[in-house]
Amino acid sequence: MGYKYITGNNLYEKQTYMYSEYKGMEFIKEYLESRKSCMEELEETSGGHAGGPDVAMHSNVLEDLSRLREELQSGNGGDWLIKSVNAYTKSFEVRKRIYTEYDDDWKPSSSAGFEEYESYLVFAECLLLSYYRTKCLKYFSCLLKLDDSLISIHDRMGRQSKRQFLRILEQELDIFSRLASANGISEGAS
Amino acid sequence: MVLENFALLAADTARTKAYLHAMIRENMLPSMCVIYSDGIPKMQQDAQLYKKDGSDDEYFDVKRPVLSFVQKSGMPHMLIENKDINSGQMADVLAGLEQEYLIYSGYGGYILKPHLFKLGKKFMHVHAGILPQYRGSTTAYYSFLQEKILGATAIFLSEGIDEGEVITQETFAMPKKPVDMDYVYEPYMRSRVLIKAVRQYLENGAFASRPQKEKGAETYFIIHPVLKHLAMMGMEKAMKQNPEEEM
Repeated sequence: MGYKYITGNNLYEKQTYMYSEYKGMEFIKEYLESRKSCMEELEETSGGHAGGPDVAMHSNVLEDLSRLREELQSGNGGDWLIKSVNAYTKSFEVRKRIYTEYDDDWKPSSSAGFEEYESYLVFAECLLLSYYRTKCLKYFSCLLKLDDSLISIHDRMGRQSKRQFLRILEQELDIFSRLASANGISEGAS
Repeated sequence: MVLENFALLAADTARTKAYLHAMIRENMLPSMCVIYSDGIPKMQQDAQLYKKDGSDDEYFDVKRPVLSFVQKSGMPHMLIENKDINSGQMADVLAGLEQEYLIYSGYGGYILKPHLFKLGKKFMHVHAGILPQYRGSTTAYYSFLQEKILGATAIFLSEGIDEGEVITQETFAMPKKPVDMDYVYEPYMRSRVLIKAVRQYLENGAFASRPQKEKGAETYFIIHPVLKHLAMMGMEKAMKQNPEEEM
């Protein structure tokens, strides 16, 4: 049947992930196949000169996420840094979207959009860095959902974004492999 | 023994069955059971058709209808055709109960709204995770993957999700044989901690609850199916490797 958590456009056809059924190794194979197929496509279509940034206009949210990514990369930042990542994580988990603007209660502003794909990519990098820093799987779980959404819209990305996404998926699969090994699960097992 | 000051708020779920099974077995019966559902006639029909006793099951009989447990034990009960705990009808029912402690076994996805905390009742809830480290959803899978532990914590509900005062908690060994985590083992763990909490009350005449520390608190969201699979496959592997050992 194939991996069922990527449909037409996950930003519109939201996945709830509630009460997901257990299908054993068959599901893991479907997941890996789906990821690898997308990565091959990204390899094929992201070549050539990268050109300038894919997005000319940046929202405040994208700027904020970029700042968070920088702080996470530097290894600095105190509690506020993880608190900020947690706030974005909660918002994405609830809405399965990243909006271009939020009010003080983390509700999307009435005029906010949710199709600034660069924000999703930068947030994915924040989640990876947060996972590396804390080893807390809530960040990796959120990343898997975010990557489902990004795969569903990857054909709309520019070349530079596709390369960025390819690197994110490579890291996702690397973490997956480590977790599988830690639990005695071999991808070739049936 | 009848727990005069306790009522059970019973949704039609596996968790309710686990609670009823444990309370009947330990002879700790709530003095009232409020069964609420949007399918009461179906629940009644299911109870009528059910013949097996199920008391010898290792954990509890998940196929046994909720009403079968209640009717067979002779527990006083009321049936409410409404599955929304936050509805006005349910608030009226709860306000009319004479019991102070309400053991909450509700439907997934419902969070108690502020008006229910103004009824003068204490809502006891057993969360399927060690608190405050594992707040939120599907924490059994997360705690297994991160620490190879399973646990449950009895709390008094408050307006913050899984932030209420802790009554008691316990970690559990991995089951020795393959078992459904969502519908059997997790409800079973909750039921054991519920019994532990009630026993604490019976021994001391009161609960010794304490506020949660914020240090180390973490809130989780529904686990992605890939991680859920890794957890379940890891659990199966652990059960096969150590069929008779406690972890």
